[in-house]
Amino acid sequence: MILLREVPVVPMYVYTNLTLVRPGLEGVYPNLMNRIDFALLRWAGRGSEAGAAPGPR
Amino acid sequence: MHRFLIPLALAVAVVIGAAAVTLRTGGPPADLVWTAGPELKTLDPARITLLTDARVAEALFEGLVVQDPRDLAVRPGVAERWEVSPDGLTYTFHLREDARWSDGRPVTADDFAWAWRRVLDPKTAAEYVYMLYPIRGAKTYYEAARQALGSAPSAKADWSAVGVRVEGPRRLVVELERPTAYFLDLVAFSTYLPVRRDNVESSGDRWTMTPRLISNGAYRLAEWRFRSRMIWEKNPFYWNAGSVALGRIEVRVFADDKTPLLAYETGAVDLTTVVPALAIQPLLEARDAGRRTDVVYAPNFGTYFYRFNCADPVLLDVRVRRALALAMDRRAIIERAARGGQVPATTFVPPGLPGYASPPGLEENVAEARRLLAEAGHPGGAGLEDLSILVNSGFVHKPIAELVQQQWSEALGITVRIEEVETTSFFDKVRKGEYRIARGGWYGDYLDPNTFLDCFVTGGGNNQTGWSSAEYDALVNRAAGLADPAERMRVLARAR
Repeated sequence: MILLREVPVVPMYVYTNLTLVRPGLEGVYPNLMNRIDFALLRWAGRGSEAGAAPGPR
Repeated sequence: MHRFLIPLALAVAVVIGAAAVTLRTGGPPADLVWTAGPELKTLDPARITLLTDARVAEALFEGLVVQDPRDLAVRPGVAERWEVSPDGLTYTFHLREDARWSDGRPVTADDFAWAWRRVLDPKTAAEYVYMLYPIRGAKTYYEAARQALGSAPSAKADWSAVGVRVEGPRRLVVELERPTAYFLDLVAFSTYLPVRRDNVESSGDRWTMTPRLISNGAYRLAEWRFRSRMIWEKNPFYWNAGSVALGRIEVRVFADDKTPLLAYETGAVDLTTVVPALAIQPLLEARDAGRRTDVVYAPNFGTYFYRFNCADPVLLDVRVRRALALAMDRRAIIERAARGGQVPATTFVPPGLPGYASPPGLEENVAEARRLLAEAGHPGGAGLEDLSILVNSGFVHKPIAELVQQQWSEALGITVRIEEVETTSFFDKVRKGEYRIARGGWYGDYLDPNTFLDCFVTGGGNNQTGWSSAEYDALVNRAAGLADPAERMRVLARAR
């Protein structure tokens, strides 16, 4: 608890991220690191040329 | 279009013209249109520092491991598996046989070794070179190479002393300086992405431009119009192409932060990661009222803070620093100045880290703040007339400082001055310690408290407060070498 005791810095707020995702687009998840894996994105109910098969990840 | 956004959208439309968001593009229609940031600076993994560039690079390239956005766990990428030695010092990565570059050539261990060696070459000017320092000999190699370029031309950078060993095309062995619990998180970072030596060497600085770029990720670059748009096409050679649903993605670049929202609301784009701060609170309220189902919102691994110059004769006294910290109303700062739906922070390490429990932090306590100031010889703020807050222009740094100024005046009776300077000068002044109180911001590079706590070790490049604690240094240093996650967290809990 040294940093909190000594206060060389004053934390004020945690940054946040807001993303707008067209309804039906799946695969965008809220996470601390702002990660988006475009390989995971897909449209609900729409197939794909690859058949949208779940991958091994 | 949602009603609350109409005034904003109209205002923007007047300025930029509706045509800007209905830009027609050539080629087949995209399966997805994404608005990234105001600018894409580079796709060279070694030189990436911006989140947007990293997102693009991670769609085009794939590292040995990847961080899953669902739970931020590390999953196999080009490496189908890996082993860690019992002492935590050696990682052996086994590359999958079907990993291919976008021209069909296999991805090999050499591709990674060469890419990492390039990061450690000072001529590459990789700002995030330090991300490779946990690798044995990496920092020594970089510093020797830098000396050889400058002050000591006879210095020799010996690559054979660096802990990166290629044992065949599909086996890469990495030795570390000491156990590094978050090493796999580092390997998932864009600085560790592979690049093709022949691609880089044959095209010079323009190797990332279409049609030259050869990549190994889910997508390949089909078009890049600088400051305008980018087209990605599914990489048919990607080892996991069968699970990639979208065949063509268009990335739009807008110079301002308002047009992406208008483009989204008018249906011109499907995904926007750029939303103006003033629109965030109304969007969250609409989400909470059930009027919108398209809002994905999350706290980040980043903290906005004020740093004290601990070499300052007044701020040297921890009671003064603590009093100022306790006299802040963070919620008011967010609601009246920052206005972006942020979350109050009472600790420097943001909450939400898996396996990490945040301690009780610095909550507002004006009575205690007044008592501490009086005890420090400043009753009613006496003797604190010359304090100042240094901020850089832009964003909402000045409105935030003005609110803090008001809060400290009302709570403690002190008047602080606000000094606003342009950004380059700001960072220069902070680095040189030419400030009393200065605003700061820090995003964690990897998913571990160390990425925050390491900032304040004595003499650390990001410390910039003049604060020094041998006890703190010892704890951070000890934790860095511990392989046991629970023990590491216990040690870091004493430092934080």
